[in-house]
Amino acid sequence: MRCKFSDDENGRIRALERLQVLDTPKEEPFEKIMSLVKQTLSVPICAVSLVDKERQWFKASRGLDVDETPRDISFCTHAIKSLAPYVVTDACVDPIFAENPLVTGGPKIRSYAGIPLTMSDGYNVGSLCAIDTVPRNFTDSEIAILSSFANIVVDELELRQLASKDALTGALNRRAWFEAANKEFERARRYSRPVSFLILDIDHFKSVNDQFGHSAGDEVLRHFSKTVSDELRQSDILGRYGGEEFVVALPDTGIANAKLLAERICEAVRNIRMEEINGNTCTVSIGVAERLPHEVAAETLVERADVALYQAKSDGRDKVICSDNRQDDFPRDAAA
Amino acid sequence: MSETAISVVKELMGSVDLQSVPVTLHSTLEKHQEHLLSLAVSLIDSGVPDEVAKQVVSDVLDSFKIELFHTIRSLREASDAL
Repeated sequence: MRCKFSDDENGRIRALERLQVLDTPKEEPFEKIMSLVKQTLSVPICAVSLVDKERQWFKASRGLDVDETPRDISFCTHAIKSLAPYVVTDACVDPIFAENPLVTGGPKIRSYAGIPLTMSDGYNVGSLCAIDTVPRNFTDSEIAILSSFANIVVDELELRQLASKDALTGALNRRAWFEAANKEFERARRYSRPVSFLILDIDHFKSVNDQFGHSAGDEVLRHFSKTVSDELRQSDILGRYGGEEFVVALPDTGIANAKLLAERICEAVRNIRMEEINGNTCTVSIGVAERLPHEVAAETLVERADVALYQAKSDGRDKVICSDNRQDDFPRDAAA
Repeated sequence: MSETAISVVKELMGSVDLQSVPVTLHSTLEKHQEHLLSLAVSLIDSGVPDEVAKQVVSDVLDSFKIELFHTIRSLREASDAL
């Protein structure tokens, strides 16, 4: 059975990046799972393999002396295309793997069982694999054990992701948003691609809390966050910046399209009818800024968006203001 | 489903202080409990002795509890920062 998202490689890579686990140090829970897999299945090699664009990177492993291999020779790149366990009983006679350098050379893989690591959003980010250096028929019981351990690995990965989320709205918390936004900013800088940030502030939110209570205020924040999230692409990054203040990083987006998106968000927020505030609506002010060619820190981009937000508030709220009005300077806008 | 597996996981999960776990993490914990149960069942069904299966599940749960504690702390810090 093929994975539902097997054709959405960009979405899969984004899902992997959202975990923020690539190239992180060794961690005890994954090391422990490796020891248990090796022991219970009696295999010389096992790994938690995360399949990146061009490589597979091992969060943890046993019996391997490298941290990564090129993706095109990895067994796990085949495993992640499936929802079912991927098993190779004898790689030396398998037409796909017989000439594979991991088979003909070290670590001399002969048999392989890989269970896709399927996250809650449906993407297979990697696999938990058990490898032997002799031909082997992995039994149903062994596959069941390996599958159970794969579920445990996913639990561990998702628990780390939860630590980065705002519990009320599901948006990234401030620290996690800055980490993710910094990566997008650096990517934009390195490849001379546009990136824009939005800062959004719900208008008159204090009066919602004062008039309807904090529970109603929390519901407004949830509605607001979902409304904004519904307008974003998979690659955009939403964070909760402060009480009623949110931030969005828009990769590959110049200021013209960022402004269009911000105006769509304003419109969508205007149209929410919230029972918690007696069917009233709320509005939002948004500051927009695109990275300038000389800009080297994500913080300064946030600051410019913040200045634009201040201007939107001063100009009467419920509107979008762009930093520097530089729409004409970036014709290479890639976002729709 | 193996009664032994259920009792093993039930006994081990008893060591988790649910009161200290925020409501937002309860579903995560429930899902993990289901996965521990599947692990215990698959180990026992494959002929692993009960005591060994219990030790394996216990080791996995101990690791998860440590990370759960870190997550709870991160969530509290993020909440305090707002």
